[in-house]
Amino acid sequence: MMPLQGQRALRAQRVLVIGLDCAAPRFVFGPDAFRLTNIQRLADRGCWGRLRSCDPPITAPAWACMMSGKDPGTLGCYGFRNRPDYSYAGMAIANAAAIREKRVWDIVSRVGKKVVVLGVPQTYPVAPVNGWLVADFLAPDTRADFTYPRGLKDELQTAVGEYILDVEDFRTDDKPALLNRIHALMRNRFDAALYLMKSKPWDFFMMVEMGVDRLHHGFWKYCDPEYPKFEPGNPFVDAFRDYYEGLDARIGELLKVAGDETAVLIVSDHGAKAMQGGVCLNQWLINEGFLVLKKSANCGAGVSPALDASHVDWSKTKAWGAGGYYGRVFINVAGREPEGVVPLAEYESFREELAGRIRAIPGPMGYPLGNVVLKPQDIYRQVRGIPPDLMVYFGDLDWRAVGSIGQKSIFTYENDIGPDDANHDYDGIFIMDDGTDRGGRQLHKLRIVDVAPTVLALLGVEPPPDMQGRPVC
Amino acid sequence: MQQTLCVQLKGANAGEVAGILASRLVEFQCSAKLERSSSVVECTMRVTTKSTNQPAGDLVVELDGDDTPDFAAEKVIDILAENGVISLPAADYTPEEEEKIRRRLQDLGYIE
Repeated sequence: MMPLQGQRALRAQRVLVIGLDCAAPRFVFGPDAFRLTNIQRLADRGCWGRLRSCDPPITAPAWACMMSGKDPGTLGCYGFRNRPDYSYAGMAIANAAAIREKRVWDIVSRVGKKVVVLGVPQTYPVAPVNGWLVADFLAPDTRADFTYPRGLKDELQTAVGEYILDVEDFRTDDKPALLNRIHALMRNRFDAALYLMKSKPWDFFMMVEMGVDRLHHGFWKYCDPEYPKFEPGNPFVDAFRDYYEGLDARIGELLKVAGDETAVLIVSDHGAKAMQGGVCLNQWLINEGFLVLKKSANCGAGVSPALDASHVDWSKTKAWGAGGYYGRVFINVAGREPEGVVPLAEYESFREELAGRIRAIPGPMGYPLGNVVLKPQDIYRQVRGIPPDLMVYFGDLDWRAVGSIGQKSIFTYENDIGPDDANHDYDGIFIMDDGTDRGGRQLHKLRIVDVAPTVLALLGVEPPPDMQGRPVC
Repeated sequence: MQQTLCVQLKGANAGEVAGILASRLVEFQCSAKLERSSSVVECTMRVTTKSTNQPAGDLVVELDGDDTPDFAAEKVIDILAENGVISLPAADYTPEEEEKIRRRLQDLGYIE
């Protein structure tokens, strides 16, 4: 076996990482901060700041970036689905098997430290760790083997009842029921965390609560007075405050069990902001002549179907897109795609032209939207797998990208998959109390890739040299 | 072609790790015969593989006493895979599971 003695911990300290998916700085640090006593105490004693997410600032790959210390290009993961090849056949789900780089728990497992990992995105299918792992919502259901070791599933069932992978039936207009399910997820996740913290020996413990993200997407218009759709006096006006303060109370329970000898980090993978609407990326590509449908395709105005590859006339198509919280554009390159039409020699000039055209798309009132268009090769240290040719943040993330077609306008204010009034934002949160009095110092320019080397440093484990971040403090 | 490889586990919990390893190796179409001594466990595996990458000699594995026995066994499996003795299975979804996850991700707004 690997000679591990030289890599043993230099410091006898354990680390607790509490991940809050989508927790936004404005509700934790900023002028709209809620009364979060426990989180505030950590920030006052330790250090804190805004944590710049990766590009794209999406749950997958952001948590994997955070815990591997490597950017999405190096991971070869650009979202929850990625192209497995250059065919038009669609995209494959990027679960744990798509993450080939070691994450913190893999590294510290290998030096003999005990770990507990609970609900961290992209951990299903489970891989063995030196301890206990409960996978994320990419597990199909609780009949699957979503824990390591397998027996932990039954143990959790006995201890805290049926494990909740995520909020079911998220796209619903029954908001009271949705809010109940979001709170039920929090109760279940923290009950599981408390059980594992008390019953297992650990050096590194990490959990992620997904409910914050679900809350933002489901209730933004009810809670943000600056949002155009905000209705004063609505029954959910305090939903954010109540949830965040409830979350803080549950965090307080974990901190009591963790004890003072534990370094604590509270982090989020990205932030959140109001979403103004959607930009129909493929419809725009059709309007501009970059994407051509077969004459037989029934995609008239008002139909709004998803783009079906079999309806595309690939021999005349230069580019197509995929929607989500950000837009991805793929260029139909000759010799790369099966029916590619853009000559390889013209690839860069065409990509540049297309990027410029997308940047210049005006908003519905004719003013510039402020679209951000990125080339993977410009922003990543390496570009692995099959990246989009262009990555698009419409309105600097004020607008989501809509992939479906058939709309009269490229702007839509009704999400065709159900209500959603929030988009992701670049900055998440970072709070660290490692037991040394840092006096509540605010830190700047924190990057998501800094978290993994920070955790390793706290544990006395040398960060691998290919990690792209630096230990904080 | 069936080949035999001797894997020697050394260290704390070696007996327990060998037991877990023997159970796990069944999943890789391997059979394992355990030969115990007071301080060292030897696990002889009859490996049914066509691989030509098997180590020429015995494999000696030093166990880390801080590892859980389950994880220690997984490390040995990794070593066997790295040496081409066994192949780790791809953990794919069934078509039904993949569709279920796709719908969930769509429902959550991540994809369309």
